[in-house]
Amino acid sequence: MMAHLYIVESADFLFLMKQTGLTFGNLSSHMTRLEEAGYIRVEKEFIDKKPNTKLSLTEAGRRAFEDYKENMKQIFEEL
Amino acid sequence: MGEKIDVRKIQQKIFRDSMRDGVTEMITGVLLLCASLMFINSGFTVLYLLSVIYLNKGMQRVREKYIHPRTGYVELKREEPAKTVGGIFIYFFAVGLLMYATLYLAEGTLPSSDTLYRWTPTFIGLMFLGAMLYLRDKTGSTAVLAWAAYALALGLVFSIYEFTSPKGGVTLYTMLMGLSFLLVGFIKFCRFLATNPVIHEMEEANQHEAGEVT
Repeated sequence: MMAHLYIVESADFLFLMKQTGLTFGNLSSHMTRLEEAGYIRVEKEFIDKKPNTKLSLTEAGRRAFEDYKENMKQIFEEL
Repeated sequence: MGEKIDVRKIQQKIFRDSMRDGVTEMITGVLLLCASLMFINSGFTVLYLLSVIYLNKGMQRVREKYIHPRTGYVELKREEPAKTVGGIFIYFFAVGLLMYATLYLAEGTLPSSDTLYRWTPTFIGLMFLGAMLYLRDKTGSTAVLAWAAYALALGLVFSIYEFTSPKGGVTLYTMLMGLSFLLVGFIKFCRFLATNPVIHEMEEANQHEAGEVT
């Protein structure tokens, strides 16, 4: 989920569900934890009277993901 | 969690998925058809300009009504406009200059307007080649190169064949390319609608709460 949000400016819940293959419950759970950690920004709105949740990475989230990528790269290089 | 994340592959997939709806092909088709009318009668230039201005807005409405409720909405990162536009212009002028120089060397004189019109289909085919190579890089899909091969091959055929009117080749070429893009785009759009049902967040949430989906 973080990887997808890292690549785009923002994406809504439905898009992330389709891209990640996660269920509503799984994605919702991840979203809550990431929001609590300050890594993502969640904006809820109504489009055509239907609820829509828009997500985007915060600066802290962007930095955390870059650190994670760097760490993983080092691990794989050591293997 | 411990696997290596290929950001580029994810980026390519997102871009590829954003082009599955056929809307881009339909826009290209309509623009090419309007361009072909311009070659028939320059009075259609206004129509072409209007289509350039309003078509994108119209297609945006189509996306909001038919596409986003099925795939969700994503705002892609924008490339620096100067970089993109600059790249397009450099390619455009490089190919144009190369073609002009080739025609000059082949004829031994500055190419006439009839010669330039005659070889415009090949020029457009080369423009499509550049565009499709760019798309191949963005999407990771080699299928887009089929469009490049088709556009270039057709361009060469329409340039080599002797038409009675100097603008005959380019008019028919843009018309045929426009119809091709429009048809393929429409088929993709219909297939997209058929294979992607509308999903509402509220429906998913309700199903989750009712324990129907884990």
